[in-house]
Amino acid sequence: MTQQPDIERLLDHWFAEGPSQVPDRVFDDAVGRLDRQSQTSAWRLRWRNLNVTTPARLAVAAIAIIAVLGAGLVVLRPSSNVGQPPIPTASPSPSPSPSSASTVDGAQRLPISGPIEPGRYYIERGPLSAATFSFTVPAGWSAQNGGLVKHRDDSEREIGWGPTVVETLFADPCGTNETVAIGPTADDLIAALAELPGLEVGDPADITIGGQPARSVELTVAPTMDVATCDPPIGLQVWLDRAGSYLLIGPDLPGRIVAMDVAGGRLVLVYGGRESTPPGDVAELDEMLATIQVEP
Amino acid sequence: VDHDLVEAAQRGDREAFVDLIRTRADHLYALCHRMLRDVDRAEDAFQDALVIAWRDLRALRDPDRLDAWMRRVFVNVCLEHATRERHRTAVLRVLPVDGPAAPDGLLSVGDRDQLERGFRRLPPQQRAILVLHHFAGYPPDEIADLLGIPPGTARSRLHNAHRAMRAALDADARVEVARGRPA
Repeated sequence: MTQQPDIERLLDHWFAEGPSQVPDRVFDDAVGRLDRQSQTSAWRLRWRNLNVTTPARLAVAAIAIIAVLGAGLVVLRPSSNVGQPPIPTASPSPSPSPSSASTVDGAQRLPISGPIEPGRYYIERGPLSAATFSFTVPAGWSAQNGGLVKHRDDSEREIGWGPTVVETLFADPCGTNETVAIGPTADDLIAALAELPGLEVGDPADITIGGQPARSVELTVAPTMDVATCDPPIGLQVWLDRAGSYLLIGPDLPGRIVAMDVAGGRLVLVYGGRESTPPGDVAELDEMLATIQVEP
Repeated sequence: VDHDLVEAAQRGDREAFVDLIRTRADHLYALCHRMLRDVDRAEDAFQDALVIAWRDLRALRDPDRLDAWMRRVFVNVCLEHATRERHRTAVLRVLPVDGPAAPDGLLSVGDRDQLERGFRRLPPQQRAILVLHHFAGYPPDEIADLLGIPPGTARSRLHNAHRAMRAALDADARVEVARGRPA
């Protein structure tokens, strides 16, 4: 029989054998591939990429949503009408068009990631979205992890938006991983958010998306809340969505979401950008959101 | 960790990233090789992991965690390659042909062959734990941290991997004896 100390000693020696240096050609080839690979915008990084240590993974996960929501309040106000509800009102009375979950007339399915041509696209109901909806994309935007982004190689200017599916909230956004279930409607989500300790939820703004009623809310950390005591010590961990992204709100990183009731449940959109994003890009995003058509 | 280099790399400076990775490349490559037990696959996995680390570098919030984060990325990618290998190929018997042998001559050719076969029969997660423990020198709690699993799970997987390796060696020894050859 091979006893435990023996097998451990054998493994120690066995693993010590083998190549200890990466061949130069392998390293050089890999470096050459970097030129063809752009960096992912922080705001759409997924949990599976971020799993380092418990505190660290929460911290790095935070960057995903914090980055988008932090600047979102500044960037994503309607570019032409400051002071009005932050999401533009889309054209009313859309004409319903026959569609199914997998086909949308005149629109192409948005790829998960990659460059796209300008035109009409749709995101299908699934882990990222409670409803199938279409929208018109101007030039210069790319698909990224199921959402849309512009300037994805320039972290100072990047801007983007995307859908999310959220079913539970963390009961204490500053502490434990216990969750609370939330009801199925947009109002249920907003009401549940308002109950979370340490989180301040602004007055919901009634807006329309594709002619349908929606509500937009701003999320901030309550002034009395010291996030240094939280895990991670940078903000409030609000939810983990179905696709694996966290929503964290920091003291200087407020957030904004839009929620609306649709046939398939509750459609939630998360928006973000940078303060340095060019106003023209913000206007493009506004225009894009105004073209959203939720499929029945 | 050079914070300036990390931040420059996160802003898209490829040269900064290459500088960061250059000093870590040998260890990360060796880690992949030990998990995959195949030079070609290790090279493929190393290249894929390097590109993914570059792509996702903006996820790293604390530059002090660069090494842990990088190791996590590489282990994950090599695990994926190991999983693909298991789905795609039958068990191969590959003896180490390059690199230094153990200095004290503890391992015989037969030992290596048996270890190789036993290791290849392990699930990828158990392979990773053995490599992280015996090659990289991490205790179970740090492995748990690295793989994002509870410490108890890491400890039990390490225990099970040891048991499986020991059973593999013992089974091979019995086969050799049954064939009339000394184990």
